[in-house]
Amino acid sequence: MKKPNLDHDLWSKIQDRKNFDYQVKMHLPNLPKREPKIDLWKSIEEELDSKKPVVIPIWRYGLMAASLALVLSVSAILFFQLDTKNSDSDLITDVQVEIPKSNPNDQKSDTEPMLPVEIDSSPEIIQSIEKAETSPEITIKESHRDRDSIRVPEIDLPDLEFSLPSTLAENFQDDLEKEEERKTLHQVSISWNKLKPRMKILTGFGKQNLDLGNQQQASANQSKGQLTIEIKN
Amino acid sequence: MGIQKLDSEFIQKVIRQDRSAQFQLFELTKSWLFSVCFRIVGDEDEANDVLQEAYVEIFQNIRKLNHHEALNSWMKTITVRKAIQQNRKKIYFEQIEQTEAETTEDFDAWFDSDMLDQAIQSLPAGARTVFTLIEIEGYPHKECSQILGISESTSKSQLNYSKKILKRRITKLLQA
Repeated sequence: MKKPNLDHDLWSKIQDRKNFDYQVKMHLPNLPKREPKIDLWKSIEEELDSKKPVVIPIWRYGLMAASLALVLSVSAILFFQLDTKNSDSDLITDVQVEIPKSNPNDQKSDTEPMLPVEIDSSPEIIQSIEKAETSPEITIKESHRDRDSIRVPEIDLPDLEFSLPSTLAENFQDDLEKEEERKTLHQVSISWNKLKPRMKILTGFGKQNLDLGNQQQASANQSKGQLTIEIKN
Repeated sequence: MGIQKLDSEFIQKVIRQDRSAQFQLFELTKSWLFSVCFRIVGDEDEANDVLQEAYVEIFQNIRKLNHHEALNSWMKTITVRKAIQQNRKKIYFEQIEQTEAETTEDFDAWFDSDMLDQAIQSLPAGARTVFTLIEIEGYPHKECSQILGISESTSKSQLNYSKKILKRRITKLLQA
């Protein structure tokens, strides 16, 4: 009977397999498998049903927000523009004011039509008028109080009435009749500004030596805005 | 370790949120993924919670998967990340000296898979996670370090450390 030939390297091979790393690699696929709890699928199903995605494209939200913002911004711009236009527009009233002429030698005709007048109440203009005056008929009294901004009470818009009191008109008429002065026409513009509440009024209608006394020299209806009277010579 | 290759028609059903297809996929993969969870987390209840969250995320995001052939690894990665996130506070990596990491202990014993599994469960959380990812799930050191937020050298040293502890534990179990 023949003896089988043993592999002389068999023992070394066996010892190699006893190696730790070799055994780990050999046993890893056979590690015991564990099972989750029985009702795990039920829990997963409930969570999936509760987390159903809301199919609303995000771009639609952005589009709606952008359009809303555009509408609001355009309406806001239009609103403020209209508001500023209405408030910034100066009400220019044509007022014909007959003012005695400063220069007696002025050859202008008395029958000239009355022109719209503007009265500028700045101190420089007042001083220039005072210097240019040769006749004592025109007196422009400057009130320190008028230099400052005068906040006047409000009036109802759009009516703007500017009228001289009867006493002042009478004074003018008396002066004209008495001293036979030539009338000078000054271009006076009266503007009224809603947003400019400061009001400057100069009482400059009259002669140079006119004794105004305690009589009211001018009056203006009170307005919300600023009444500007400019005199352009 | 993984599941059999799934045909594309079945995967398309899962993508379309077909509930029966989803259940089928769950039944095919639940044991494998739960084992991965359990080895990382170390607790059955926590592993169940992690697996539930993982499956919900898998079914909600499966339509984003471009290559259906990578479904297995994709599911495994989601599960592993969820488990690590759950166990983040417990996972710590002990400071190992370089010399200690390089020395190998003599091991002369035969052991089986049950004994190995028992020894794996007794490892520290950090070493157990590294051993599970590299030796059991087949992640390379680079990917393992990225998942855990550690360096490659730390990953390698922790793996050697885990094997050293496994040898000691199995020797003790055999002596018991």
